[in-house]
Amino acid sequence: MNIDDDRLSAYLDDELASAERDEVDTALASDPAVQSLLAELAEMKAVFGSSMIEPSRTSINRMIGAVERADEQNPLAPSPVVDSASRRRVPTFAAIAASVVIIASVVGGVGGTASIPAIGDLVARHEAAASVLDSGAELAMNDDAMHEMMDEGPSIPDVLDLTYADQDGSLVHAVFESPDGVLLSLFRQDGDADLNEIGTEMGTGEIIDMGGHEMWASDMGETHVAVIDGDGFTWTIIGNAEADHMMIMMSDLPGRSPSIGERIGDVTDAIIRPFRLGN
Amino acid sequence: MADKAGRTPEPGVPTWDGIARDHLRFMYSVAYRLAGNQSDAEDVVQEALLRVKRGLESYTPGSLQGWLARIVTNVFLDETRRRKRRPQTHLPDDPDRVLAGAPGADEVLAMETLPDHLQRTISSLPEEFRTAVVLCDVAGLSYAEIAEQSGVPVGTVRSRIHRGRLQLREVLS
Repeated sequence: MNIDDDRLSAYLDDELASAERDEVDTALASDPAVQSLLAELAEMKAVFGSSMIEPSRTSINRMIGAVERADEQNPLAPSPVVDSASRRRVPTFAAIAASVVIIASVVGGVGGTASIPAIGDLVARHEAAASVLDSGAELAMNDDAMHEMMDEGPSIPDVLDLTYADQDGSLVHAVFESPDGVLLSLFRQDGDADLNEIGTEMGTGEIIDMGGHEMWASDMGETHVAVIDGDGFTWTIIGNAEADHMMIMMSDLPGRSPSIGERIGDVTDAIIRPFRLGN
Repeated sequence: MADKAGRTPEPGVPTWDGIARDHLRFMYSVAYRLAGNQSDAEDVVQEALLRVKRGLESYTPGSLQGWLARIVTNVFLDETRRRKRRPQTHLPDDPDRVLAGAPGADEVLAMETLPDHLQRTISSLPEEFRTAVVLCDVAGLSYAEIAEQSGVPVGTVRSRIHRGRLQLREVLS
């Protein structure tokens, strides 16, 4: 057993199954170096585990006072420190469930069709993430997915805050919040979507020519979806704002377009580059 | 017993007052180990307390300290990601902090008694190693709980904890 064998720490933390524990016991019985390392690790664990840090009374009063002030002034407002998923209120998402059922039935449910993307699946993922965030619970961020989206994905405008990222195979999912409270999901999938097929399957939406590339967009009650394909990836944006509004947010345009199709030149110009569709 | 706001908690659900009274030291310890300094630790705990206050209804009876540690860690990671994405200078919103001037005597005492060498050592770890070690050794979470918190497999947690401890050992020696 060498120093890099992580069974030693797991042994110390009582996280090994009996077979692995027996193997470590055998190594400990025969190798003084392993015994010595385990003793050092145990000492460090004890030191860190026992070293609680006492905040000062002033510090305690400051923290509790700030929380109580923030809660009294506006129970749903952002806290004075950082934005919080638990503060987010997305009332429209309670109404999305019905549309998800309808969409899923049209698409055939998750995995019911091989088309890219399976809109029902993506809407369900978005709705599930939004519901959890809305309830105040926490969502664990997948670091690999976060870096995939932030480092390798489109140029995300600074105005959007990344709240959650996850990855399921080649499907990368990130959730962003805009300053005006819009929660939107950005999905990246490998492969090019057939937008006509999506339109046919969904029975709704429209395909917009974006200067050589196309976007399928649809407003479905409270849920709004936009799909862009090209360059080997398919990007899907889902949220509780109109598709063009979400696209404008994603492209960092200053204003809000009144409807899909208007200001399409600006949208095209701003979106093509960040999504690397025109290169 | 009702809390300050007059709300009577569900059986098994702690009150915010009780958490602030009995668990703030624990939350602060986890936050300080993760953040590495008093100011950032206070910000993390403050935000975590706010989330606790607004999320108590979603608490399901179980390991209260595990739940609190997860919230503290999420706040810390949220803020870390935010700073990585968008370096910025925040205007202080608490006038007491703007005009505070010299720290109070109890703050000086608290700062002087902090085990700085330990903190410097653990702050030197990469974030993912530091988080795993703190959640294991300071917060007392199991590998499975840390894996759920971090969104990585248990095997990754096991590796991060061991590699983190080896780096701590190297620095301390």
